[in-house]
Amino acid sequence: MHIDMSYGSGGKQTTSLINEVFVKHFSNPVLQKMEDSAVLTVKERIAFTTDSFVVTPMFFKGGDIGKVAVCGTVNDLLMMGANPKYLTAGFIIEEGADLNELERIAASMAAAAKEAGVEIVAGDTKVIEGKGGIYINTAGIGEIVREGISISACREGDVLLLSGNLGEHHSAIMSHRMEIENDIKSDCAPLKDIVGNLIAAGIDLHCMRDVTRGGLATVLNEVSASSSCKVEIEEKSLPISTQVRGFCEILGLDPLYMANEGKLIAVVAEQDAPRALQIMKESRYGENAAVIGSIQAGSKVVMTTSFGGSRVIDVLYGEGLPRIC
Amino acid sequence: MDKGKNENIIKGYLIYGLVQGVGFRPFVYSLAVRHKVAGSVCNLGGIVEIIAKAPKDALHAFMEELRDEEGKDYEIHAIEEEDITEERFIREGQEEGFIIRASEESLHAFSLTPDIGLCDKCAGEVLEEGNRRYRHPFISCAACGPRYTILEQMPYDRQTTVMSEFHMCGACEGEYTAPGDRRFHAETISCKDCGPYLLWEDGKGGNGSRKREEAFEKAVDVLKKGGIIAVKGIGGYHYVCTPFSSETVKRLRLLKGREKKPFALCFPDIHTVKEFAEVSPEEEKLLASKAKPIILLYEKERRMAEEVSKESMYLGTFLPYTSIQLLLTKELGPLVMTSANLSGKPIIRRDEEMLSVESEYLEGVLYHRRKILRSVDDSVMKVTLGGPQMLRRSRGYVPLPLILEKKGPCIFSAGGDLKAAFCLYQEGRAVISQYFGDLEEYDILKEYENSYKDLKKLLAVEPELAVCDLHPGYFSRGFAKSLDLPLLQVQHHHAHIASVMAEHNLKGKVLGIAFDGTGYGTDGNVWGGEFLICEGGSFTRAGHLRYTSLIGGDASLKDARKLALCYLLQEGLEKEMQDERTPLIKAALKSGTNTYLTSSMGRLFDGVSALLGICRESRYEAEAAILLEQEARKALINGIEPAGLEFGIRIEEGMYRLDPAPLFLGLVRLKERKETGALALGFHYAVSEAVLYLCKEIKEKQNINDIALSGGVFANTLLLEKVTELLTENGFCVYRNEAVPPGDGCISLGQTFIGLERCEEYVRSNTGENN
Ligand SMILES: [Fe+3]
Ligand SMILES: [Mg+2]
Ligand SMILES: [Zn+2]
Ligand SMILES: [Zn+2]
Repeated sequence: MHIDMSYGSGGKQTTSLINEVFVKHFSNPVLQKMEDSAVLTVKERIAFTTDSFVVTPMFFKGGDIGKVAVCGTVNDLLMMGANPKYLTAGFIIEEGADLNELERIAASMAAAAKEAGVEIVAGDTKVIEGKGGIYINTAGIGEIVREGISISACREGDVLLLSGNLGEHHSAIMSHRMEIENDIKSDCAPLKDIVGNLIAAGIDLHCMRDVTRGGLATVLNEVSASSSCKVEIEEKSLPISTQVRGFCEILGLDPLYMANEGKLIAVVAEQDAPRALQIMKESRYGENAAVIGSIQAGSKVVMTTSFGGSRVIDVLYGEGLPRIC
Repeated sequence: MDKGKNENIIKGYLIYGLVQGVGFRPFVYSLAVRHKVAGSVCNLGGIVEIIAKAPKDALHAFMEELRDEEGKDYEIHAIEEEDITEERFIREGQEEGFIIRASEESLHAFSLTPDIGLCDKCAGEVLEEGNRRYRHPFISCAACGPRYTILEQMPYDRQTTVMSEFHMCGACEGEYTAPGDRRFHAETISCKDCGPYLLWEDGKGGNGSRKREEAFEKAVDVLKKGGIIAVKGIGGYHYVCTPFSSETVKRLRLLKGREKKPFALCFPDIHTVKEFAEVSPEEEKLLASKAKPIILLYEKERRMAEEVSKESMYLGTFLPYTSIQLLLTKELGPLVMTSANLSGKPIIRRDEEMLSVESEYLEGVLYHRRKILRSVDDSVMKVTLGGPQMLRRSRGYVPLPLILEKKGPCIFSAGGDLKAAFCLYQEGRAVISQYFGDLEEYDILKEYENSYKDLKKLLAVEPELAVCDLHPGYFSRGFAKSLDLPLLQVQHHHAHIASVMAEHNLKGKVLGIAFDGTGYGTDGNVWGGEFLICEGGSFTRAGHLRYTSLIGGDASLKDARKLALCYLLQEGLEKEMQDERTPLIKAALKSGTNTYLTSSMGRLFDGVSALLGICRESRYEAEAAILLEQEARKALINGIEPAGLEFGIRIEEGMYRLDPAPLFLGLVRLKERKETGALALGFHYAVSEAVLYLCKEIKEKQNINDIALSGGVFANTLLLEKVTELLTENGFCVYRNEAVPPGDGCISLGQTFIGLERCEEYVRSNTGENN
């Protein structure tokens, strides 16, 4: 069945869409009350964020747009030392979208929310003209459980950890777009276990960031700029699966610039680094975690290459554009 | 009125070349006195001006003797003659006798001299038993020795160089203060009693130290046994070893992290060079020139280890420019001497850094305590079309200014990102910095940034305009932007052509042909096979190699086979090359995943090289193209007929498009039937013919007769010669890079030229916008 403009009229069709798809999958007491807004109880300090998701294709190996929409917002909350509690979900649905697909997306969102321990407590749906696309906005609230984590809090001598393999989401999406068969799966995942365990163990965490669009290079440049420091990384230590490495080599892609949906970097005090690495490795989605570098005085992001050179890692300036003459 | 034999005429001469800081003006003075020439000589920052008044014959004899450089300490690159009015002569000359006029204050800094190789007289003394400086490793005189690499600040004087740390002994002091002595005011003067001396330190696993002759003997001993050592030079350290042991050179490759690129060789003298390589008189002259650059020569039959230059037909050859090099090669014969650096780092110049290199392959370090202040690599040249062709302009040439006719404000030009070199311009003088390498490398970028401050201070200039490349990802652009100056951004290939216009002072419309690897285009695509009509500081694109979609990423450019696949896929000929990557590359090209459009001629050469099975992957810059040229050259030498290949030529959107489709069709059709050499040669000829065709077409419409060739592809001698031959036969005037490299080493000069042409409009229109 396909969704047409009548589903967005606010009438019977709309109500049935909400009940049959969203309430059914997101079921929780707050949502079920169907009030004008959700009424929530939270602790004193909260983290609050929003993000919109536009992903083609909507379904790919390892996830779908719904899972990404939940994980993205949940991870953003986690990165600030917050425990994610509530999400809202807004859907903009283009005419012609498949109802079954929408339901699959909702189910996937519900599963991700459950894993992350959040409730989807409010939502909205609009139908517009178009070609059957679905766009999702999520907003989220989390209770701060650990103060002081900030992109500007990195200090000279700190150690930089990465929670797992680079480039998997991006490679999976590209494979779909190119209609290439391979086993590369998106890494899309909520990082609650890793973050929760790091905080519970009292690791001296200075900064956390999820590594999404723009890749590791972009995140590290943000760290360098905000903390006024030089970020040094080792090419050899970067975790990348053989599959992704081969894929990238052929297509001339640099995993440093590729999007992930279930990876974080953590900058921790030097003495806590071994313990932090151990915790990450034992946490869900952290089995390939690695220490990849450190924070130093200076500026720029600099990578020691496998050949012993040191490359300046700049932000991405244009896909594929070569610099070499 | 007929001029009598004894009637005086007045002439002015501008002398370009190595004529500063080598005792040139005193020499001119004595010569003038001898020939009874009246007038003056004056230092104009990189140029010497002579104003002379004498009867015609006397003047002629005077200039003849000046021009003859045999055995002289200076080197003249060009002389410009002009007529001088009586008024000006009275003002600046001297009616009776000859004077050395004070140089103009503002140009003084531009008289800074580059490092000069060991002169013949000093070389003679070092080898002369009984001489006070017999075997002295640091011999120099007023006409030779390091300059740029040891100078702390201007003016050049013993106290402003690193030599201030060494106290002259009485004997040296005597020579230093005796007018007329070869070492009168030779700021680097020293002897075995007072100068620096050699030191030896064992490499990893040893901890022996030695001094003076013992240090030298130890070095010789290690080299004799096939060991690799580091030797301190002028602009940094060299790794040194014998070229006759394959096993040794293999270890050197591991030490340098260099898989295939040929190594440079130092020969004791020209006779030995001739045993190993073909040397033309022009090449001999360059080898012996004051700068002592590395010259690429054709190797005769191979007598050295295969590992030295692998498949390359060239030997990178130079003659000793330090006494240490002379003593080592006299004792041991030809030696590999290659810059000591880890890949991606500047050549090592600090002792602590060199001594801390821990490698099982490095058996020791031969050094001394005279500091090197700047990392300056050896320059590289070759002879093309009977004249010099700079390939890397560095030691021996920096900071000699290039003289530009156009005057304008002080300009900083950032250059390109690869083979980076910047340029500082003031009052007609363009000083191009030493070569840095790839600015993506952190240490090289730092060196580049520091050198900007350093050279700016030495030259006492303060830029008012910055010029940089258009490429959004260039680090040099980022640096130029950070300077808080009005910023002019110049298209890469326009800068290439402008560098030729600057070198040859071209005016009016010029058709520039810029063939290189990669440059960012004004349409956001990657250019590299361009026909640009240039005039003054502007250009229009008249034609280009048809766009082809290639897979992105810098690493993909080294993969010649992948490039070939992309070309073949484009032409529907992918079945001609078996590769397991084909499906993925095909899908990427079809969906436009990480691809870009390019008109790069360099990539086309790489692709053809791989298609012909000559090179799968470039392990050093342009390897695939270099080997393709070599294959063609062999065919040419052996009289093999070139295969008939051609480009398609179309006019679309008012622009000429060189279409490689028929070329690829021809290549795959003939691949099984013709020799590789015939195809390689045919390809070179096809490119040359296409160039000629377009030049004729454009000449017909726009009446342009001046052709400027630039870009790294024109480092290809065969192509350059063929293109020049065809164009010259058809009445075109062909210009090319000579004093600067055709590759990206010329970019900063081109940027400066365009900056000068456009500064007025530009600085005005940008006031207040660039901060
Ligand atoms: Fe170029
Ligand atoms: Mg986000
Ligand atoms: Zn000398
Ligand atoms: Zn002395």
